[in-house]
Amino acid sequence: MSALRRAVRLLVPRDWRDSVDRDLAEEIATARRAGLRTELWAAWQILRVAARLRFGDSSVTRAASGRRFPARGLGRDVQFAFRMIRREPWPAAAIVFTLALGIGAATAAYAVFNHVVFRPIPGIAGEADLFTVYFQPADDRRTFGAAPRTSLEVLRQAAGVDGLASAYTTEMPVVPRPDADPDHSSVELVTDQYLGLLGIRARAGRVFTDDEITRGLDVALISERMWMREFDGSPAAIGQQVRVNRHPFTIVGVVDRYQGWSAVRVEQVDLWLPMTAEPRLGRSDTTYFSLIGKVRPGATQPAVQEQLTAAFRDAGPAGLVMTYPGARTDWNRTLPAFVPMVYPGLFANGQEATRGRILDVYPFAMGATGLLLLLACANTANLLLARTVQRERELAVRSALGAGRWRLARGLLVEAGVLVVASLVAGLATAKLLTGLVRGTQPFAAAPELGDVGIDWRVVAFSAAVAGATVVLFGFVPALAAARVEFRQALRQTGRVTHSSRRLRAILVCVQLALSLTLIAGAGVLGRSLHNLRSVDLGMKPDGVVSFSLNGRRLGLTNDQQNEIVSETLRRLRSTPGVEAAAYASPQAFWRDGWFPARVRPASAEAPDIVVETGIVSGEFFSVLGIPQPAGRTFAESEFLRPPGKSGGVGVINLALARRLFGAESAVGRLLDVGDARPEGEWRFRRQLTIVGVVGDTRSGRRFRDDERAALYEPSSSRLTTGTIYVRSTRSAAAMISEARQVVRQIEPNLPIISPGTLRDEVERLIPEERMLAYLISVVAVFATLLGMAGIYAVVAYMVNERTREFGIRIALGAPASAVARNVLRGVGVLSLVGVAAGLALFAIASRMLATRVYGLSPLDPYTLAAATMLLLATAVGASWLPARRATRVDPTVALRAD
Amino acid sequence: MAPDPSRLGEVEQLVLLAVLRLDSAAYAVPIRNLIAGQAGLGLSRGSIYITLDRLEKKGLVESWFSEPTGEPGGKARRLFRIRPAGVAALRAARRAVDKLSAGTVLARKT
Repeated sequence: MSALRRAVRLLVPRDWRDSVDRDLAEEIATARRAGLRTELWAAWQILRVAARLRFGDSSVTRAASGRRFPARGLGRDVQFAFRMIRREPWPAAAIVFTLALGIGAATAAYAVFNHVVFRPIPGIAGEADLFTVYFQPADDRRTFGAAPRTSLEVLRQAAGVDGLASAYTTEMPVVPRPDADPDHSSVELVTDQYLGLLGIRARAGRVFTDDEITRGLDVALISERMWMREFDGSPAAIGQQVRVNRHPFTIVGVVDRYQGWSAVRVEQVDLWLPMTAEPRLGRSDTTYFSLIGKVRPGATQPAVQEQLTAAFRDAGPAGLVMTYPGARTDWNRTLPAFVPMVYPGLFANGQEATRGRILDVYPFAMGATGLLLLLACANTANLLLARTVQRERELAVRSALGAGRWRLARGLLVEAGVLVVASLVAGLATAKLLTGLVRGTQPFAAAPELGDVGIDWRVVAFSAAVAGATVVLFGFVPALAAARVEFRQALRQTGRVTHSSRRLRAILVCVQLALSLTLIAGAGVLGRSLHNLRSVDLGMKPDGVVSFSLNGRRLGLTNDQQNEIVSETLRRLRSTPGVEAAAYASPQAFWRDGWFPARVRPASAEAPDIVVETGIVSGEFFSVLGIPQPAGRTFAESEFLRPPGKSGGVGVINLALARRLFGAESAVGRLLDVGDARPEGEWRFRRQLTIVGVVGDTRSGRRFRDDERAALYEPSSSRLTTGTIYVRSTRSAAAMISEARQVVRQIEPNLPIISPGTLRDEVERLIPEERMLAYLISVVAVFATLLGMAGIYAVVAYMVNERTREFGIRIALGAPASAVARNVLRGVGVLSLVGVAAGLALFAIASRMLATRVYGLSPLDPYTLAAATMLLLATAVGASWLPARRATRVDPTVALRAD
Repeated sequence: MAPDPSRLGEVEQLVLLAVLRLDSAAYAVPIRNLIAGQAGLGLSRGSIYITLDRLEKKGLVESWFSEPTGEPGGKARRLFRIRPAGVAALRAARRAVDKLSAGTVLARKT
C-alpha cells in the first residue's frame, strides 16, 4: 500500500478503516490492477468513502428519512462553506484566481532555481555516502593539481575507502549512426568502479562491467536523449556502432536518467566510453584531475582524508602531483604540499562560483514573485474583508439564534480553508503551466537549457503557509470580531460598513498600488537596461552575418591540418553563391570569457604596459563584421595562419589602444612589444610586431559593457586550436548555415560544425540573465497591474454601493453628474497618491539591489519612474471609471427606497 | 428526532435485502456487486458503508469483526448479518408496497 493510501485512509472513521482497506484490496486483486494509476484511483476511492462516512450522503439520507440527516460537525461546516461559495461564486473565484497566480509564480520561480542549483543529480543513488577528491595544497583551496594515473591503485588501498574512481567530460565529434551527420556531443570517459559508485543503472541493455573497462574494450553507453533522438527508443540500438573520433564503439546499453554532473547538478552527456579507450580517441592524458569515492561503512570522511594523505605521501613517484594548466604555478613543479583533498558529496570544481553567478539573480526572481504573492495576499484580504462585512447580518442572526462564537469562527475558518486548498491546487497547476512554458529556454549562461522542471514541495508549503495566513488573518479575525457584534446593533447597521474595516481596506489598496508600482518600475528599469544592452554600439554591423566554429583538435588533427581545413573552408565559402565575404577569428568575437589577455607596450620605450585582449583573425574579419578601418591595411592572405616568430609579425590595433599608446600620433608602422598575460608581476617579453593598421573599437564577451576596450588583432598564433568562421551573405541564416555544413563536410566528413548561428545570437548568448530577469519581472508586473486594477475596482465599487443612498440624495438635490463622479474619483485619487508615494519609497529601497544589474541608466531613472507612475494612475482611474459612472446614474427614488 | 426505524428508504431496503441474501457473509463488496447485478443500481462504495452504518444504528443489522487474514489487505473486516427487526422492517416495507399496488396493473398506458 502506498504512502498516499496510508495517508488518506486516516480520514476514514476508525471503525471502518480496516474494512475499507480490505475491500479495496480485494477489488484491486480481482480486477488485476496495479501501478501508480491504481494507487491514485484507490486513494481517490478512499477519499470519497471518507467524505461519505464523515459528512453523510444527502441523497441516501433524504431517500431514507425524507429529511436532512444532521451531518457531523465539521462536515456541516464544509457543506455550509461550499453552499456559501456557491451562493456567491465570483468573490471566491477571484480569491482563488488571485492567490493561484501569486502561489504559481513564486512556486515556478523557485522551482527553476531548485532545478538548476539544488536538486539531486538525476539517475544516481546515495550521493550522501560519496566524496570527491581534488589534488590541492592543504592550505590553498583555489589551486588545483592533477595526480598521475598510477596513483589511483595506491589510493584504493586506503582502509576507509569502499571504491574510488575517476571520470572526465569532454566534447567529441560523434557519428551516432552510419548515415548521420557528425555532431559534437558531451562524452564522459570513466574508469572502472565509476558507474557502480554512482549507482547508475541501464534503462536498456546493461552498463559497463569493470572488466570491460580494465581490458579496454570498445564499448559505449548512450543517454536516453540520444537513444530517443537517434534510435526512437528502439531496443535495436543495443549492438549498433557509434563512431567517436572516427573510431567505432559498440553500444551495450542506455543509461537510466543520468547525464553526468557538474557545478549545475546536471551535464548533458550523451555518450560514455571507457577511459582506457583514450589512445584510440587520439588522447594522451596521463593524469586524474579529480576522483570520486565511497566511504566504507564505519569509516568517517576525516579518517579517509588522513588515510588518503598518508597513502599519497608514501607512494613516492605515484604521489607526484602535476599542477593543472592554468593554475598559477609553473608546469611540472613537484609540490609535496599537494594532498588529495576530500570534499563531501559530489563536488564540482568551481561549484561555488558557478552557483554564485546563477544565485546572483535569485533574489530578484524570488523578490519579484514574492512581491506578487504579497500583492495577491493583499488583494485576497481585501476581497475577504468585503465578504465578511456583507455577512455581518447573517453572523449576527446566527449568533442570536444560539450559535457560539467558536462555532461561527470555526465555520469561517473552514470556509477560508476551502479557499486556501482550492488556491493551492490552482496555484500548483499554474506553476506547472509556467514551468512548462520555460522548458527549453536557457535562463542562465552557466547552465544548460531547462528540461522538465519539477515542482518542489518546500516552496509549495511556503506559499501555502503565506496564503493560509492571509486567509486566516483577514478572513477569520475580522469575522470573529463581526460575530461579536450586538444583535440589535448589527441589524440596524445592515448594509453600512464599519469605519475601521473601510480604513483597513483602503490601506490594503494602497499596499497593492505600492507593490504594483515597485514591480512596474522594476520592469521598466530592467527592460530599458536590456534594451540598452541590446542596442549597445558594437562597433560593427552584426546583421547578415552567420558564424560557426570548428575544432579539429578533438578529431586529433594537428594545428597544420586544422589550419589547412580552415583555409580551404574559407576559400570554398567565398566562391559560394550569395556569399559576400568570409573570415576567420579565434576565439569567437563574443566569446563569453573574452579574448586572450596580453600586455603590450611600444617597442624601445619605457612606457607602462597596457592590458589588451588579443585575437587571431583573417584579413577579411573587419570587412565581414563591418568594423571600420580608418588607417593602414588589413592582413594579407600570405600572413594568415603562418607560424609567427619572435619578431617580424604584424598586428592591427583598435582606436582605443592606438589612442592610449600613441595619443594623436599615427600608429601605423610602429613596433609593438607583446608580453605575457599575467596581470601582476614583472613584464615578460614574448614577441614583437609591426602595426600595419588601425580599426574601430568593438566590444567583446568579457568587456561587453566597456567602450574603452583595448584590442590587438594578429593573423596567426602558435596555439591555435579552435576557431570561428564568419560569413556575410545575402542569404537567410538557416540556408547559409546548411550550405556551410555541406562545405565543411566535403572537406572533412568527420568534423562537426559547432554552435552555428548568427552574430546576433552570439551577442544574445551573453545576456541570458538580463533577458530572463527583464521578461520575468515584466510578466510579474503585468499580473501585478491587473491585480491592482481589480483591487481598486472592488474597493470603489463597494464604496459606491455603500453610498448609494447618499448619491441618491445628492442627485435628488440637484447635484450634476460630474460633481458626483468627481466625488468618487477624489477618493480614488487620494488612495492612488498615497499608494504611489509608498511605492516610490519602496522602489527607492529595492533599486539599490538593481544598481549592479542595470546598464546605461540609473536604477532610479526619472523617466521610467514617471512613466510607471502615470501608468499606475491611469490604471487606477480606469478601474474606478465604471463604478464612478454607476454613481452618477443612481436613481434617487430607487436609492431612497433601499432597505 | 431519532430516525424512525420502521421506515426504510429505497437504498436501505436494497442493502438490507442484499445482507439477507448473503446470509452471514455480508460485507460491502458483495453487497455492492449484488445490488449492481440484481437491481441494476450502481451505488458508490461510500453509500454502502454509510447505509450499513445507519442500518446498524437503527438496530436492523448487526456487525462484528472477522479475523485478520493473510489475504490481500489482510485486515479485520466488518461483516454484517440481519437482525429480526431488519426482517420485520423488510416485511413491513413489502406489505406497504403490496397493499398499495393491489389491484393496479403495471402496464404502460396507451
